Amino acid sequence: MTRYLFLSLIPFFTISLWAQESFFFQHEIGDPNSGMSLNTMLQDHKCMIYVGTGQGLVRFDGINSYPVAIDSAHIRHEVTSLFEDRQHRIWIGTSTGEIFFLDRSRKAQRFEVEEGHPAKPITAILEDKLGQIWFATYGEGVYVYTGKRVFNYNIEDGLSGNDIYAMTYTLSDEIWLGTDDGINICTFENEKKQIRKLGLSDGLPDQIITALESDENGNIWIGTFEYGVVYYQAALQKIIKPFSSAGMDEITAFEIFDGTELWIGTRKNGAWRYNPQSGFVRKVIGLQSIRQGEISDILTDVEGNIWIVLQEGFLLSAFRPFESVPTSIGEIQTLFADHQDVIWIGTKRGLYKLKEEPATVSSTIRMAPGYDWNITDIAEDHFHNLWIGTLDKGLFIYNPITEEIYYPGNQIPIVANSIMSMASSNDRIWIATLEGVVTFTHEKNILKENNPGFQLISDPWQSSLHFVYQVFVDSKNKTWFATNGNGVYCINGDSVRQFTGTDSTVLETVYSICEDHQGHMWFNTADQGLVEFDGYNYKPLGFNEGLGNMSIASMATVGTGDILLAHQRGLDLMEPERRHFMYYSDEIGVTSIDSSLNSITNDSKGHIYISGKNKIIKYYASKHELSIHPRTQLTDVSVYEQSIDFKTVNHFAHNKNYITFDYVGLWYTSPRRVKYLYKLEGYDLQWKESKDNVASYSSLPPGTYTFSVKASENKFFLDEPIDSYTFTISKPFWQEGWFVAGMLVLAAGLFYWIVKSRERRLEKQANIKKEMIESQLATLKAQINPHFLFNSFNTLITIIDENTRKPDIAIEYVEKLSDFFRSILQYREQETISLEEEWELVQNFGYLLEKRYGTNLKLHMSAPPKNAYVLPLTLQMLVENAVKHNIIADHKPLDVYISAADGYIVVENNLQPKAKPEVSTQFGLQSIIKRYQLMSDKKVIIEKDQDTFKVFIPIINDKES
Amino acid sequence: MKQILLLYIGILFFTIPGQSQDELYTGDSGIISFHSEAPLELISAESRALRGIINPETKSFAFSVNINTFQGFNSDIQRTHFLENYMEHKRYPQATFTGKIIEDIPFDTPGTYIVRAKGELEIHGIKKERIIKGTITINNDGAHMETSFTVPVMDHGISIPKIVKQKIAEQISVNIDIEFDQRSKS
Repeated sequence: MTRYLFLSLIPFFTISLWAQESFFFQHEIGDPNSGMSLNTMLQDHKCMIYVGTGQGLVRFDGINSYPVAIDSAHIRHEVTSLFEDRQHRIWIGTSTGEIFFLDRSRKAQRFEVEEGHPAKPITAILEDKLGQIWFATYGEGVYVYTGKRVFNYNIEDGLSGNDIYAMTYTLSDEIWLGTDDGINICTFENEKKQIRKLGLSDGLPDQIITALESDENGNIWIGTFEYGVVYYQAALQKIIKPFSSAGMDEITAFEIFDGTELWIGTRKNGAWRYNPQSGFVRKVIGLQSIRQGEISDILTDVEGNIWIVLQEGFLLSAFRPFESVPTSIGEIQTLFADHQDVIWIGTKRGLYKLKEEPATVSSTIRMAPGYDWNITDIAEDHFHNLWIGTLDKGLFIYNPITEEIYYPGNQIPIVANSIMSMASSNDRIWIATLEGVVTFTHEKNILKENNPGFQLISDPWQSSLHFVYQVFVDSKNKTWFATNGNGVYCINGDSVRQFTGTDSTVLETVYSICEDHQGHMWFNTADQGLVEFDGYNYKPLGFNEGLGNMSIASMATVGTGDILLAHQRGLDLMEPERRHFMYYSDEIGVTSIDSSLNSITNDSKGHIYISGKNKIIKYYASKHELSIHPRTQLTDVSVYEQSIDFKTVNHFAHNKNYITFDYVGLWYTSPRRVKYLYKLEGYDLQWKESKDNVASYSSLPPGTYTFSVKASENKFFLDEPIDSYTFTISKPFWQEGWFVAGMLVLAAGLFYWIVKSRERRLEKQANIKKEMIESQLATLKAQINPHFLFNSFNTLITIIDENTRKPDIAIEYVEKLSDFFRSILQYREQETISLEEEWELVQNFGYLLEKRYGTNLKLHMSAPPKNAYVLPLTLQMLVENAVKHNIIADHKPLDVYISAADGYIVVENNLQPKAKPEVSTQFGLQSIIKRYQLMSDKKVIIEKDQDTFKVFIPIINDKES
Repeated sequence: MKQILLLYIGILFFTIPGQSQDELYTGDSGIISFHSEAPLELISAESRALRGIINPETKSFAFSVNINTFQGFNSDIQRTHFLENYMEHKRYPQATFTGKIIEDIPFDTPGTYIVRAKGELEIHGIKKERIIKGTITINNDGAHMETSFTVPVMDHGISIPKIVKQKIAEQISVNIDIEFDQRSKS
């Protein structure tokens, strides 16, 4: 057998390309026409981004920006520095030296200290391990706040200058300051100031230090005014220049991405990045094409975005893990990373190599230019020969160093024509052809063998392996074959197994295979989507499980353990353990991928290269875990559209029941993909899905509720963090227990009172009745008193005797007597009688008495008032009493006066008591008094002195009765 | 007295000769008062014998007061305790502050300015670095300065017996109000 050796004679030619970089977006902060400068940027522990601008502090959620008032006087301070300390206070330094902070609940407060604020711009703020806050100023050196006192370092304490451009805190707990005359390294412990200096004699390239940043290895990156970037190697205590800073001017900002990649901002010449692994420093050209100008700050967020703040008012960001290199080398069919991580590119028309250079451009270089191979796959043997599989001409062996090319195809007919896929296991190379699978041992260098001796994998499964899409060697050195229609085969040593799934998950056509870090196999199937196989069970994952698209072009496992899946229009990044999918397309500047099965490869560091239409995309396997969930937080709670302080207020009155919740799920990579689920526990039965970041509830009944909200960037809510707010709407007071109880007591009291007063009234009525009956009885008794009758009859006899000629007088007397008795009978049952009637009665009675006593008794009666009433027989009884108890004789006449005065009827007589008083029950007067007590508010008044006896009887008005 | 003299000499010495402003601001009857607000007792006292000096050229600022000029305690015994037990005025007869004004203010333009002086406060023989904030009003023939600051007694090694801890505050607040006359250096 002869060997065919070809030497490529045509020189290389390179195609210049855009730099390999991530896709930058421009964001709007505030009014784009306001000319607002952007000075500094911060992401707090809850992932909210704050931007310090020329017109104040701004909160930015990825879509909208909101001004944050920091001064109760509403003065717009120019914010020049921001820092969040370990207590989660956000410190705000301004251009006038004034210092504010947002407390844990993000309420703005002025920093109040006895020593006052600096009067010069605050250029940087940080915290040391003792919790002391350091403020660097441009003009007054640096201040340190111990929690009690503020101390100052300036030129007189030994600082090299009072203008501090930059400040950083190192792993060895030192404060590094960039001044006009080198670096000052400060510590402050127990009020003792220590300053160490680094200057030109220590190897600094420039006196003026404008930027400082310490990395996670303890090294400190130093940016200068004129002479670019160096770093202080902490282990060697030496200043080292790692790369040429040609092209950079004044360094204004540093940021370290993922602990390794240094991002550099300059005043006039844009952003640069330096990768210590490759040693390359590159200008960020994609950024330059959008915006130019001074870079005031650079920030990396928890999701892996890099943010570039331009002083002139522009904010740009890119999702750093994806970067792409545009190419124009035709359809890429395979990518392969060799043992040195050189990326080889197989196209329909020949072999290329991706060359990363320490320049601003990457390039693809045409290799073996004499051969227009239609390359389907590339593999590498242990002698570092590249095996080039073609679709039409079989196998070629290519030595990248000597550029020898060997074509074994003619000797071994079975590998002659169409090679579908190749893979290298520990001991051999596997080649899947349309004729079957052949292998070649790694022990022999094929270029040195006269008779290479390919081995054809024998039957019985040979016949079913005619069409292999992909050969895959797993971590246990098992070789897997993805077949067209026959599931998956696995060769492990001498054993061969076929996997065709189960009844529910049938594996037929499988395009590609990969393995996750748990050792599970993942199959890209034609009609089941992605299928996970843990050795026993098959679990299909489709659209409903989060897969961005059912058709997967290619897939590979990233160094982080995630699996990257290429679709037609985007990429899915899946975390296998949690089955969390993230879909990327627009946000990384990729709208069409068009990848073929084998055009994906991972290098030794776990980065993935994948080809798309006219581009190669690199996915960066970060060392530090990136956030994969939006961070959800409530931003505002309002009651009847009035914002409340929801960090402290959670109790509302019964009529404050129209409540609105504003929330945001921070996902800066793709803020518009964020969807929300929210639920008001105690009201909603189920989670509600929404794209809005506001939810309102009206007419909430009294009760305790918890509003919970979570956000997802991929429509799937698995273990997304939840923010919640618990509040109570109180019952109206009339539903409160105390009120109801009080009302019951009051009602019971009222009822009791009503019952009692009714009882009293009844009792009173009964008493009136009783008194009336008693008085009637007494009156009757008095009038039918035999004495009275006897006296009356005696008088009658006298009248008859004296007037025998005038019987009409006697008749008149008897008539009056009979009238009197009739009146008594008539009136006694009435409650009251009019004074006119009582007057008549008394006059009748008076007539009877006058007939008896002659002129010795005189009844003087004034005219009775109208519409006035008294209890019946009251006056009669009083007149009778007067007659009964007083002497009536010639020399002692009795005068009885009855008159009306001021609401009373006064009955008055001159007092001349009998020497031997009449036996009296005193019933008459007592009965009058008692009856008036029951019938009238006014009392009967008795006045008695030496000469007169007066009784005042209240007049009962018409209405009262 | 000796220390005051040294202070003056010190400030004069640091004056750079040959500059346009060759006048010092001095005052010797400033008012310094202090208040100790402890849970059980409020003590306040003042002295009207505070001496102060400002050198506009070097921005130096100093003041000094004799401890035994403080008057106005609640009782004589309290004053004695203050002088003898706490301040030990026989060993440390004076309290002084010497420092420099951080801000650049135009001493030749009348007006009121907020200034901070950074320097050393010496009380009870112990020096502490302090930044003292106050207002200075420059007028045509002098200046007026007012400031207030707090003195943590522990900072200056003033030990307070446990038994009177509730009567003496840990932080004593001090107010200063002083008129300066402009005086030629020569």
